[in-house]
Amino acid sequence: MDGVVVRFTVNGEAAAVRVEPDWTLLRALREGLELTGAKEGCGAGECGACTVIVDGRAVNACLFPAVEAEGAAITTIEGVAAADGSLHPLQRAFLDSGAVQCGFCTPGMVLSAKALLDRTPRPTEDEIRTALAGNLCRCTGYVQIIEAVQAAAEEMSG
Amino acid sequence: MTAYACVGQPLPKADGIEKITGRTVYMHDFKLPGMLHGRIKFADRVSARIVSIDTSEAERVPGVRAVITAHNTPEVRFGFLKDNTALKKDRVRQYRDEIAAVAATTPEAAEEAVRKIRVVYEDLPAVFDPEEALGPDAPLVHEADPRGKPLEDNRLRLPWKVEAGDLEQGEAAAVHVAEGEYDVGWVTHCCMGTSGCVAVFDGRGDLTVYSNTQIPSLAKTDFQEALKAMGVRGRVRVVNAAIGGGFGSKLDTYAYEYIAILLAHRTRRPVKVEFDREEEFVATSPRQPARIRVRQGCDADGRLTFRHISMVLDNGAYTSWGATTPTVMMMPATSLYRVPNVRFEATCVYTNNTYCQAMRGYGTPQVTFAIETNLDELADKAGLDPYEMRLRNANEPGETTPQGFEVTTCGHRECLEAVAERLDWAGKRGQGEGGGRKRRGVGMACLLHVGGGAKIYKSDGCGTLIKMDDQGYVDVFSGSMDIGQGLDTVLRQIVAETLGIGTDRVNVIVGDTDVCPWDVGVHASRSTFVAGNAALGAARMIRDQILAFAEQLTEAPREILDLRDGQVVCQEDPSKNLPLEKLLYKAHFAKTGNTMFMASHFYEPDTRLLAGDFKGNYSGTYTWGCHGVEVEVDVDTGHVEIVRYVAAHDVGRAINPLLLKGQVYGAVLMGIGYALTEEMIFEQGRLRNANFRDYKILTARDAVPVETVIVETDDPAGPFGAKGIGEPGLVPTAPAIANAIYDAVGVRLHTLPMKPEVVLRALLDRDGGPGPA
Amino acid sequence: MARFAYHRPATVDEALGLLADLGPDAVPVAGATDVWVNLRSGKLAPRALVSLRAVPGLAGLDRSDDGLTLGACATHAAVEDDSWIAGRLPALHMACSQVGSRQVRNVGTVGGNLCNAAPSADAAVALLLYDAVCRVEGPGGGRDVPLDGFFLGPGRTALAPGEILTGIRVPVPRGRTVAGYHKLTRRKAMELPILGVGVRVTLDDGGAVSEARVALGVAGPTPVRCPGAEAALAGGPLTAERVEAAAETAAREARVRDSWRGQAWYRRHMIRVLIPRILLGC
Repeated sequence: MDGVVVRFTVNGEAAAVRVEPDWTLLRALREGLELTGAKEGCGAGECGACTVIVDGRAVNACLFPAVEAEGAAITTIEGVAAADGSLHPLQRAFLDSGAVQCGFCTPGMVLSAKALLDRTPRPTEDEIRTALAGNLCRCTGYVQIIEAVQAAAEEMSG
Repeated sequence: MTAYACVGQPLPKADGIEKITGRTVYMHDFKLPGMLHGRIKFADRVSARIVSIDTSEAERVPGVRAVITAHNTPEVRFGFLKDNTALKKDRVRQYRDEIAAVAATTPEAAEEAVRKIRVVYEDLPAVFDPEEALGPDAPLVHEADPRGKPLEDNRLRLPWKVEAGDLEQGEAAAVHVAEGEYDVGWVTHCCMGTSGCVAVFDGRGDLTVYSNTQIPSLAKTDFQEALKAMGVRGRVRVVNAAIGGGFGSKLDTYAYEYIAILLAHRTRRPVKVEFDREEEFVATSPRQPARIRVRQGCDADGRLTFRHISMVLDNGAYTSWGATTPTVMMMPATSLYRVPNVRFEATCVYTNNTYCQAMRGYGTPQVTFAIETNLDELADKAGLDPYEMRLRNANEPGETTPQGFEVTTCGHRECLEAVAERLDWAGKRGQGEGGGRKRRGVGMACLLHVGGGAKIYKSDGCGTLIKMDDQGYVDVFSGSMDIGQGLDTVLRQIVAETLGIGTDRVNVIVGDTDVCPWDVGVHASRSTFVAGNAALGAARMIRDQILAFAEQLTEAPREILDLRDGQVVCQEDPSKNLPLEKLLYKAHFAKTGNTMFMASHFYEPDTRLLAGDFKGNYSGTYTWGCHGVEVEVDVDTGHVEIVRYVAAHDVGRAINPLLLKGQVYGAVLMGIGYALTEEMIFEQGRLRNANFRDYKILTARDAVPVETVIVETDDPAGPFGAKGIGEPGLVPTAPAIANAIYDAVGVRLHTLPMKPEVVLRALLDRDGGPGPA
Repeated sequence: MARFAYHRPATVDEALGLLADLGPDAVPVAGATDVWVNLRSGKLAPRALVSLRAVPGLAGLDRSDDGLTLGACATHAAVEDDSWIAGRLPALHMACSQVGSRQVRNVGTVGGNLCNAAPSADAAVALLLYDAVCRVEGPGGGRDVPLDGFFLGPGRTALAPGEILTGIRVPVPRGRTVAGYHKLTRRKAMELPILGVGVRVTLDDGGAVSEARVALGVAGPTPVRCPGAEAALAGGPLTAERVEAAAETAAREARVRDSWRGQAWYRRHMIRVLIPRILLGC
């Protein structure tokens, strides 16, 4: 295979992935690095299941050209928990609030929430809803997801 | 009610940590060494004769390992009436018809090959309206039945009719009558994980299908039949990957699964067929649409005297469970509220539209929209408060309904009262009319649903095996499946409670037909009740085995021994208490023992198969509920805003209130989508909005803070008193909203979704505003 | 997906050189959020993409007393997060904040939105209100194109082959101004507008409308201004009567169509309803 090598850090570790020009970041992560936590739910930026954080911002990895990730710092769901496996407060809150059912949307949902809390530690409910609006969920009705983000924000900002 | 250690606790979902850390393997993530990628060529026409299929160019695409059509593979028939085939030979009847399929080493090669398949069609007339399809000159969607017997019309030969009491007498006794036609269209499941499977044959010809089915045991039977049709002497194993949403979409087997099997057999390699989002919209089967006529009446006191419901269902081009939804629609039709004289009849008609399936509620959201909107209209005619009307006719514990349902526990009245109180019904109702651009109104609607399984198949049972190791861990092998609803967690709680151990000691294994016993499937809100009872039965047997052994060890009489906190507890002599691990170790290894504790239980609810006259008790218990909603309607734009939403359900007992609320929240929002925003737009059989931008499931910005009321009636048949609650949360949502819109602005809406332009049109038409320009 | 080359030039000149060399088979992209969807569906099959994302400075926002200059690669989120814009160019802020999802706004650019020339482009409607001017660079040098003349048809702009949009200048209105953008949708997020309505009026010291702009999305083949409605508003006080007359004119002028996404009568009726809502807050 020809293609080009893209170098970036993912979850704090340097990574180099050989990609084709038409690869998305999602494909680079899932196929190149076997980071399969990000899902493809629509391939069109309409469901958010592929959400990862690139340089501090939540993006749809299904619409993000892999070659544009050169030099970026990427966080995927695999890097949200601490290295020792202890859960991030958002993950803990998602569990305890019942915010996970089928779980397919969960990784993307957590990353959208994380991108929000990293920038806005004490968001209003409206800000939470806006930040999560691009992550569709068919199981939960979002109620417990919103509660989880509120709980995590509270815990994280003391 | 009794307090328990595990049952009733808001435990997080057992597989939650895997999901929250991205480790869970969905079908999307599943692969096998050497796996090929399958892709399907769907029809380019809606109704046509297939003149020829040229696959030569597709076969030349590098990486392609097989191209199959109905001409080079055995015929595999499937579906409720066996009127569908995996690949279509000489005729297409809908746009989602499968013409050919490719297996290739990469998804890209498969896609390219599919693009290069050339099909020549000869167009045939098509019919898209079910009532037109019933006409004498309508083109036939099927010229013959699966056995080759010629068909004369598009009507399906299905006996959906039930009658009780004396309808004419009920009509005569009525002082007020309301009549209306209600039209509900297609909506679809929108599982976030798209459908897919991997099929693989081993050297002996045995087939394993890695699947996201909701019906592992029935799918196994279906695939076994396919092998027979293919002339393959092998056996079938169905193994589930984690399911990215079900909601009924995976309650039947699909052509794509048979195609994966055919491709795997042809190539001798594992083959994965996985839908993209557009295919998921187009080629899975949506909720059954219906055109429903309701006529019901009451006496001067507002007591219902009769109800007559008839409907025409657009079956689409083939027959799956959608055609059977009338068997469940009968339930609220005959038995929601006390109505002595009832008649229900449904006609299913072939058309060239997509064919339909089960979706959360299985017909009851459709018919409940008609019944409960019409009941509000009847209350209006009778000059009664709709709440009062509902109270007067509310179902009662202990009654037997006209269809023969034996109601045991019934919290219908409590649910009604809870909604009226929480919503401040008396204070809010009737305030909407008057000035202002935004007017508020309240509405309510009730539900009756199966809460203890539904015997629509020869068996409504579930098997469970339990084995206990010598360290105090329990493996529970259930035939049921977790589709996100929390079966894994509920079974843990039931078994842990029964054995007096912590839930962390219980491991639930589901989704492998080689390992798990038979179960009819995850549907009909049955899993907590049926699989719960099956697990409970097996756990009780283990408990008996443990206590019998403890009796030997401790020489204390059985009656004073109990299992609690991980030990055998001797109630009269605590010195005889024995940690469970110790007992298990002795049972296994000590001379006295050489035994391990294992048990199996097959639970079959004591219910009657729904057939013949369609009367009899076909669920182990019934779930009741009432939803109330306050809306604000913008009279200039037609936008409906949900201000408050109260959902009260009689759940028997909440085994896990956290997960139970999750079921209700999710179902209610799905119901609000059904009511206000969601619709599949078909033009001449072609789906126009096969994406999430144009098919409008609701977002976090649209989420409604639902107030849930849990009414516990401790059902004698339920495990620890529990009833099913998977579906009910969306059953009465649309009529509650429709009734609230009426209270706010005085227009009755009989179609879904009640999108802004529909509400606005109704307002303009009533007020003589500008017509369609 | 069709195969293509992906170029990441580091300067505008390099980008122009690439476009000149590659000819019409090359498509310039910024956030690529729309382009990528079209590549996937096969609607677009270019031989090369020329990405402007690595060009320094193109993603910036430059605020001054005169107005705002948006680099062509400035994202919708950059506008959404900017309180200066929210205060001075509220209709632009409203429009950008409602595009797609936060994930799309984080990547999708205002410039890209304009170059797509979709009739539904939210930011385009808002920018028409503010007399935005597009800065275009090409093989023959640079030129300014008023946004009002930028859209030629669905998917067609005034950009000549080989030209790229590098920036958008948005003057801040002088004088007391009322402006807003209403995106008519069924859901509260993740939507294309069924109709986009933008209005701006700037008042003189006497309270008369000195400048009026009315612009619509999904009411014609491109985002459009409504000259008749603007004329009906200009030159007099902002009374309910005059606003309603302008709304009526806009509704009549609009070239709305029936589609499965929305019916013409509904779109037309909503123009009548939403213009007064924006201007009179009712």
